[in-house]
Amino acid sequence: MIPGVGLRRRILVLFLGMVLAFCGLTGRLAYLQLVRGNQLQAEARENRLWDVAVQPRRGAIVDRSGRELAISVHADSVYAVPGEVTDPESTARQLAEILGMSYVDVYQRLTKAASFSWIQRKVPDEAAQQIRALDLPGIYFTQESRRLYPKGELAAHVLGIAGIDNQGLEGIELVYDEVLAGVQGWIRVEYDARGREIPFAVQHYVEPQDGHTLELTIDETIQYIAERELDRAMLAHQAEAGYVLVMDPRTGELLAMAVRPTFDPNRFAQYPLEIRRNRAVSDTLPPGSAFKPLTAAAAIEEGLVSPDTAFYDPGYFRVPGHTIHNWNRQGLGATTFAEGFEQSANTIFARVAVDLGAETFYRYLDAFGLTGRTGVDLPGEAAGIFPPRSQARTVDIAVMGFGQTLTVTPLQMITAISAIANDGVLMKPHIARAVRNADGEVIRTFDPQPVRQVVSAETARTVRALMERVVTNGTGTRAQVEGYRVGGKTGTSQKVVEGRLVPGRYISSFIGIVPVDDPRLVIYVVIDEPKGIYYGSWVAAPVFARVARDVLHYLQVPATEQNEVADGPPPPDPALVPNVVNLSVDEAVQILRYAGFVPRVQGEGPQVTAQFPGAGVRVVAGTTVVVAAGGEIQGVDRQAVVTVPDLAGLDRRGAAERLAEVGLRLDPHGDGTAVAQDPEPGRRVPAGTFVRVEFEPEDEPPAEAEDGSATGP
Amino acid sequence: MLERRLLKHLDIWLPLLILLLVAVGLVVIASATRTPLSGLLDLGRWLNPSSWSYIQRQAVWALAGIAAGALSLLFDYRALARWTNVLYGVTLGLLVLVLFVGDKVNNARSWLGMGPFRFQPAEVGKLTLIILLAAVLSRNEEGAGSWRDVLVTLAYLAPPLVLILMQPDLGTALVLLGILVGMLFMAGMPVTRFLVLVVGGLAAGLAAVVSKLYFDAPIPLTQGQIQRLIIFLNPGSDPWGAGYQILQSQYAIGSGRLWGRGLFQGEQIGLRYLPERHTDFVFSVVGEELGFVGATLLLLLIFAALARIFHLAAQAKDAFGFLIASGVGSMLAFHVVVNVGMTIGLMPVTGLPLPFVSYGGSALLTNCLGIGLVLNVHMRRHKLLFGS
Repeated sequence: MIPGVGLRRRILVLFLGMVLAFCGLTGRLAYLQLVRGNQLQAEARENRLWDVAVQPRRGAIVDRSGRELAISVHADSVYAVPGEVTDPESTARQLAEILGMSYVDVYQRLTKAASFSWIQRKVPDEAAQQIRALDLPGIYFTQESRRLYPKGELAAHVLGIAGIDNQGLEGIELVYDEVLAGVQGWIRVEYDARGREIPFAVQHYVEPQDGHTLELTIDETIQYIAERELDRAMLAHQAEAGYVLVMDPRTGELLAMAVRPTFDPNRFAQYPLEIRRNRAVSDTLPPGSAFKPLTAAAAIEEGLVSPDTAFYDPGYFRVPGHTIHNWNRQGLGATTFAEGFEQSANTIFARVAVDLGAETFYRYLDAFGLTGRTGVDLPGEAAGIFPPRSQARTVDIAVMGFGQTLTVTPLQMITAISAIANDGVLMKPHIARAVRNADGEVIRTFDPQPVRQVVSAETARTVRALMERVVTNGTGTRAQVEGYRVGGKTGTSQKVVEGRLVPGRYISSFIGIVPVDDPRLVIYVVIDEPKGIYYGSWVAAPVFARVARDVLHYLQVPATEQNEVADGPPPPDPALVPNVVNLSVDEAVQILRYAGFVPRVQGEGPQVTAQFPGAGVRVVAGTTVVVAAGGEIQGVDRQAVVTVPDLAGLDRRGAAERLAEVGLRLDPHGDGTAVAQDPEPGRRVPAGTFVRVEFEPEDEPPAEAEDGSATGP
Repeated sequence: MLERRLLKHLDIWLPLLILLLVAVGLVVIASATRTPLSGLLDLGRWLNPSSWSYIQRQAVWALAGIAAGALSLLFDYRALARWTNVLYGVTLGLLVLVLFVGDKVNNARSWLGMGPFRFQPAEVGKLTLIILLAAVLSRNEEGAGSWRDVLVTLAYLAPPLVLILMQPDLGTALVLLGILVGMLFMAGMPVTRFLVLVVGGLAAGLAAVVSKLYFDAPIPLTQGQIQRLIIFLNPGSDPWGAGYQILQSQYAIGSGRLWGRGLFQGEQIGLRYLPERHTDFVFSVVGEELGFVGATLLLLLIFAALARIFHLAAQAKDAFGFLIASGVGSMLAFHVVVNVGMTIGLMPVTGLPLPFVSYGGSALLTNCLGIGLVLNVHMRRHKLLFGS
């Protein structure tokens, strides 16, 4: 065969085919590069860009006078670029030692198949400096901010916590996360296919906006006083839990909210969720007789009774199927409503509630905000629990009349009583006061919000007058505060567990308004399961008195009364615990009782082998002293032994703080600067011991004694 | 010795075009293998011997290829007709050998190591097949292209095809089929018969792939190969897997736009987003760095070279020479269309390099030998009119 004309035609065909193919290829190239070029270029860049977040600094939380309760400090986080780590073994060894991590953990992080790997976030400054000095290849730092709660446990339940990524997790940190968090910034960085940052590449920086400062209605000093007194009562009565709430009734502002047991938000992970929960808003308790002012307000508003309405109290009150008794099973006989209030007669309040009728009674529960949530700016709020109104039997209404059967949160309770203090106007409770920007300018305020007029101003005044009689003549005499008119009501309720009353377990409470003629403060004290004495009049009223006294002085509320004389015994003084170790159990119990303590014996042995608190420690009379007959003390938190600091020259605040630092309690006497203390500086005592400190004025002596423990002239 | 008369007939344009292509290839490979972010004027890079390693190797292979191509001109191509069976036997032997002692690269056992250099027997196989088919199809004085010719050529093709698929190297196997189709056409197969063969073959191939996908029929293709064959229809369906190369390649080419980002300025390339950028996807580097203008110029250059090959083939004095030259032309054209089509998303990813431009020694050497054959045929185009 010889290539002929036919074959040359085939070459032409092939040539044309090739031209066609090349046109096709060029056409596609033109489409990709000229038509879609822009878009593909953008997509390619998008494909290579990763955004690196720049964390803003979380805003501070301050009290109403700007004192810092939660702040953010800069902290270095250490990360590795595994590809650049030259000697993983030695690097891991050095990092593990400085950071207190395990070698294996660090090694795994260093050798991870990734372009970025955290070693440890928010490391302490010294550790960061040490690592910087080593100049390890592939190890880098980035600055983040770390949340710090400089006051430790103070107001822990209010503040809540923020997590490692500066996200609010609990408390105010959670509710106002948006305000505090700020706005994340970005650095857009180009990376190559292996995730290496490209120097001098297209970079775009969007600055983060730091979070705002949140100002609370909480006053650090008032919070401190509330917590101090609550701690004192917790120790004295070996209680399970406790609350002290302080509210300004005119605005609904919470000035203090103390909850025990508590936690240190700086180390929140070490505490169970149960402890971290703000139980003052999330848990409901039977308020007991402290509820009676609300029943009274309803009955007076409805015109059912007046203070002078005559009652005959035989000591019991019959409702279908049940008979209701007074706490002491005694009747007041022929009496008035005012006297029944003063003496906290359950029978009279049961009758008043039944006379009001279920419908009216529930209407007032609604009006006082007890059946719904208060709407406070704290997370996890619960509403009160009541028998369903359609199924409420007469006995339910009767018992609710004196604060049993129903349960409400401590916050609901103080909010409702604050309406009585605020001439019948219920205010919405709140805890945020203002938001300030970085320059300190107020950019948002939280104004008081009236909810509704629950009862008339006149009714409210009448109820306050009844409450004042409780403190001057009735069950609340231990709540008296020298120089001020106080109105209040004690409460002692049996605990309700799973809907049933539990005998032998009580909640002691006191709610008070001061000054009762021109209310500035409402203070609610709840001591849950005190050991020994459990009456609210004994356990909670003195706490109220101490808090009220110190807060009134702090707020410089002018004293109006000259001769307030406490009727009952003064609040118990700290007493010396006698030694009972090595005595017989019977003897020990006798000695402790005689010294004013409540003995609790553990074990079966004939002889006392250990005691808590130990001999020579000053604690409040009435405190339970646990004695072990054989073996060690069980179930008591045996705290560390601490050294008593020197308090000479400090004022009351200073001494209180110095003692609190090491875990001791202050038992102040007098006013001014510290001149004497017991135990003496340098002595080793168990944490929680009271240190008695004598204060004397530096300059002129004050016109009148301010020592709350004095019995007056 | 090579007679002066023959040297006078040596074409000058084809070697020049090929040298130009190899030179372009060296520059583009230098860009494709640069360390990230180093620019053209980055002196440190050029002082670092490791950054020269790809260019050096490619240059050595190019010199070897030119030398081999030049040397092959000494022998009359017609002598090859007598050696077809030996060539065929050696090729089959090497293809069997590579299955047992070959080096595994990218999951395919395609390489035979020879000291510092490695080469692919399949590359040699392409040239062997061209010579063999040329010999078979030129025997018939009446013209080739009977069904018997088809059967005979297929019988010769089958053993190396199966051996290459066993490596597995789908791309080269397809090239063998492309060569067969091209040479049957050039051998003068009747057009209707040719169309029946091509359409029937494509339909059979499609049927095989479909039966593998839906009925898991035992065809000699791996799941991965099939996936690569069909993923180009919708590369976005698996952007980080099978579609990754296709997408990144199109990002690169699209980013080049009209003028390109400039040599050593490509971002997709410099940042190593594109795998195989110095071998199979070298055209994408051109697309990104030299833009539509540069890519089109390169295509024109290649087109000119191919056109020259067929122009020279047409002047062959016998059917054997004509078929050898057009076989080489078919092989190179198939490579170009499939490779460039792959980088711009018109063809499936089959792993065929761009002739003379892509990095790869044995392919370059084979292609140079192929050009040598074309020049050989053309150089000896004149019948002996004056006696000798």
